[in-house]
Amino acid sequence: MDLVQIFGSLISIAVLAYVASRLFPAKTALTNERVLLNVTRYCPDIDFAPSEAKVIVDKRKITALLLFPARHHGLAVATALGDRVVVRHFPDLNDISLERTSQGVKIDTGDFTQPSVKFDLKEEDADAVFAALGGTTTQGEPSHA
Amino acid sequence: MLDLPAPTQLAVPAFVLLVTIEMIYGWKSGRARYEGKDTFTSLIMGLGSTIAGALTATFAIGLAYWVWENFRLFDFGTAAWVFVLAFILDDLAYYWIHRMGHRMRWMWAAHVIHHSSQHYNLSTALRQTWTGAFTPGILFKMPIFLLGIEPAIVFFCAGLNLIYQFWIHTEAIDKMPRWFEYIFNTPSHHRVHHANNPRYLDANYAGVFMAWDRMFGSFIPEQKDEACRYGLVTDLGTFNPLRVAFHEWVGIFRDIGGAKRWKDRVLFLLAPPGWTPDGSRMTSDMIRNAWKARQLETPKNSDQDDENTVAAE
Repeated sequence: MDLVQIFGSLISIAVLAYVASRLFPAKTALTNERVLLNVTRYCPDIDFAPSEAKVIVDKRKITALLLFPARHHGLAVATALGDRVVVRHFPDLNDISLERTSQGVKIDTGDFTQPSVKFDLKEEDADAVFAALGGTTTQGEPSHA
Repeated sequence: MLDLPAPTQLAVPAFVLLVTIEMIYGWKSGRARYEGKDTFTSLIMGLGSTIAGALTATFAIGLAYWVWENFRLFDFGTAAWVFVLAFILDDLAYYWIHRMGHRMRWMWAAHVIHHSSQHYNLSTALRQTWTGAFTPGILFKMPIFLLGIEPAIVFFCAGLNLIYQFWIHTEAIDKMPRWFEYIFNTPSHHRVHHANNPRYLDANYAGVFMAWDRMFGSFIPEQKDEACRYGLVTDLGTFNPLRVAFHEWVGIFRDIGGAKRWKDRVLFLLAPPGWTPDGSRMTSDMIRNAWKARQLETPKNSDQDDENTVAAE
């Protein structure tokens, strides 16, 4: 495979991906229902009443947190990736670190494919996350208080 | 050394054309779905795989010829029937390479890339590994070289096998005629292979002939009442090709680095994906057993409330 073939392939790839994005625009918006649906699918062994779970969707609607009613079930993080939803479940909150940012909250997961997840949250939602998880995670210094 | 063409490289223009056709057909009919970033990642992985394959081919070819020249039992020559025999034997070797690619984490580290898309379309067929040469996969073809079939013929047939497998990565085709479904790998059979529904895990490893799955007990037919949901048991949180290519290798090295016993270090390589000494993660067998237990309590198809299938759109 020579450089001309590689360069030609890269152009073809860019064109095909562009056409795909135009023909199939991604529906990325996360809603409470979409988060619950995907967390339920991803964590089939956790029996919880959806109405009792606290779902916090960030302002951009591409990331969301779900706090299970039972504390020992921990936390689920949902991320819109293209038109799909990826869920991470952290039963042990010591496995993550929580940091307050100027936009809201950042969670470091230690996951190679998703090392950190940022949540653009309203002040009260960020407070709620800290209130729920405070004392259980390695918290960074608040960038504003 | 017999000089044969590389079928997959010759087929690249056809691959591009067929991806374009499926994309337009899916846009018109709703029977196939693409996503821009996913498509980009799949195709970049395909290009990277071609480059990586070219860089590492010398080792595989050299080893194959060394075995064939020094230890072969017979010399089969280059007659047409030898190509047919090579195709069948290579397909059998592919079945076991593929099966071990799902059942041994070392080989899964390379093969997982092909399953990392949550979409199932012709671009997914091109989402291939960059690190296949760093697994023991080539060893499964050694019996063919020992038997006496020249490696160039086997590699040529392997290329044809991969070309065959391109068209089965689609949701646009429902079922082929019954006789065809019985003998050959089809979109329906391979959708099951790419599904992460517990019911469908670790099934349908065949390349071309479904006989191997039927013979070795790994055949599961697609069920009308349970649409396939594609991707990994734990889907990747990124489209970054470098993270996609190496994530499982990083996971293996982290686990081996953190292991306390040599037995555990070895099993982190050789045991099925998801294996841990303390059972804190789940293998596909554990996931399936948990699903079966849930079915006994409250029978319900696992993906009936799933949003990520074409059928649900």
